[in-house]
Amino acid sequence: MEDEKRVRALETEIEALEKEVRHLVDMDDIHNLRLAYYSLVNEDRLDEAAALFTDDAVVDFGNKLGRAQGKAEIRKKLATLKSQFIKIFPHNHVVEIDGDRADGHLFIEGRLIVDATSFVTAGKVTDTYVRENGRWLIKSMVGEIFYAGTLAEGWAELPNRPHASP
Amino acid sequence: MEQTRVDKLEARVRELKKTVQRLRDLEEIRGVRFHYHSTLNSGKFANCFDRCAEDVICQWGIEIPAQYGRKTVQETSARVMASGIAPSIRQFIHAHLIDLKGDTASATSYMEACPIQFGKSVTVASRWDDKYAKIDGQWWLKHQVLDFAYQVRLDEGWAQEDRVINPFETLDIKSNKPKN
Repeated sequence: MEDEKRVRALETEIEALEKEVRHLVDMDDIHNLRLAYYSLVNEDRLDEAAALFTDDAVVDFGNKLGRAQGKAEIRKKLATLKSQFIKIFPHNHVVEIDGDRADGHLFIEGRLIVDATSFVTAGKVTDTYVRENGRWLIKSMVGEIFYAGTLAEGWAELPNRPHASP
Repeated sequence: MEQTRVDKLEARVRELKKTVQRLRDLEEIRGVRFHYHSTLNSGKFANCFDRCAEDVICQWGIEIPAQYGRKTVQETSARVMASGIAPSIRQFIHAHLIDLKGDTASATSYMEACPIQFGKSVTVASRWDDKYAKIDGQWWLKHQVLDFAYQVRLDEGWAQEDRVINPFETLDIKSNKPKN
């Protein structure tokens, strides 16, 4: 009788633990999803980067690439960047999970070559994510540019030169 | 006395709970440091100290004296912002390494920043040394020390000996009036 009571208490504790572990694993999966995107972009594996979006994802790149609706269009836009020098470094990824969806934001610094010139950019990216078939994907992504200009001119004037980056 | 199967299960669950709590604590502490920069980068200066303890100590270096207490840091920060010397704050955190010990933790992280000072592009590399405490189940920043490796104009670089610009060289931070 006493053992049964203890087993029931254990079951309750294990349920709570499973919930906590699921949350931590989800956080880790979403952080990795975001890191994978920029890693694939930096390595010029743009088709694989496009695969991280849902079929109906909506993206506003916040620059010359403009907006894209759906994975096919996102893939097409990303493909235009093939073989370009693009190195984007993500920071400060904050995520809030609500069941099978999540909101997040992060900050990016970019080192590009635009018109044969060293080019720097920084901005904020605001996302939503969903879990589809057990896998987290990017459902929406909105880029907001802080500055984008040549290294020589810097960011004091907060320029936003035409450029394209993921 | 020999352990029963239930005893052993209870012991395993206790261990598992400790591990999960530790992971949860690490995630929350990262959130505290990230919140600070998320709000600054998003122009939400009033929320920057939301996760600082009431008795937080902030040592930002350069000419700002150590600040004691959340209310004081909020006031000082508001004065700095109002002075217009920091029209653009963009701070990026790397390598947040946390040493967790129960309800307290210490951490280091590195910060790159690209502010504008005196109308010029400025580039910064620095280190944060933090202390955190868990109070009533929530993690708070208790003490932060900023140590600059360099803070220089972009067009000058950081190879020179004097590699920390003082953005307050023309401003008395205490009175918020120009220095004589």
